[in-house]
Amino acid sequence: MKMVKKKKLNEIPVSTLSNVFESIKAVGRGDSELPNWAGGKVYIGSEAKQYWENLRSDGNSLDSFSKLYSDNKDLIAAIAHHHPESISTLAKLISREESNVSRTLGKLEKFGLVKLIPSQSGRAKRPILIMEKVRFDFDLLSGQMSLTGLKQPIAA
Amino acid sequence: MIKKFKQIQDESNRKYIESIVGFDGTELLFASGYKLTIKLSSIKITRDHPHGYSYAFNLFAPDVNGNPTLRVLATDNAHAPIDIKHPHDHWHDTKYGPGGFVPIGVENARSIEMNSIEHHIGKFIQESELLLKKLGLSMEIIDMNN
Repeated sequence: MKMVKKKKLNEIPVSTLSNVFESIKAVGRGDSELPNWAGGKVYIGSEAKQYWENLRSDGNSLDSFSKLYSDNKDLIAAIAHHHPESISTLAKLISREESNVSRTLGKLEKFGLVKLIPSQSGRAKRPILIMEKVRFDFDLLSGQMSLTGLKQPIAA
Repeated sequence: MIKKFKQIQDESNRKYIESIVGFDGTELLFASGYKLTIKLSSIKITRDHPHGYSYAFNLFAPDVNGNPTLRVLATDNAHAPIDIKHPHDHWHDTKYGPGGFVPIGVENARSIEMNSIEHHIGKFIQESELLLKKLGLSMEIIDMNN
């Protein structure tokens, strides 16, 4: 089936839920073209824009890393010691939901600590630990943090 | 029922389907840190999917880091609900935490009737607003009738 092409947005638009639903109904009736935000992100109100921009800028903060690390020491250790073949195997090792483990691995991947290697057969991805020892670089003015790997695990 | 819904996917409705699935991937971001996501695609009509759509609408609450990772309300047709085998349309109500009116996840799926995809999207947005309003996080409630 041919899909309707959407315009790419550089900025996330601000709207209200009523306007969003009206757009959906108008497109359904054939009264309106697909809005350019369809398939993308929409802030519901100007306060939402502020919240989500702040959240993005906090993504690499020391606080968020500290929390992520302290909540997932078991997960990191399980990858290092057991070399699980897939996310589901890792989830079973640490008795957590696969969806939860998958989200956490995504966050650790953003910090550059783990990598998900696609398997040659099927959809399973193998999590590997990229760093075993890291150095923090912390900018006191912006609050931003970066990590540098000092030691790589042998099995990686 | 399949015969009825086959009409939805006939040639006269093809443009409608192509347009409405254009909302696939839309994310509505709330000031409270909640996020509503729309996943929608057109698929072959079967007993499990008699209307010919595959869909998942989810409302996520922010976790301790402020990231919207906790699914607190949902409707989809990815699997059979607990009460009937066909069709797969179902709703996951919100679970609440002990001692407070705080959502902690979604309940088991209960079957629902899904007649119109745009009405179903609207219904999910409205239920999400009602949940946020209960939590003191939203005042706007969309009007489904206009």
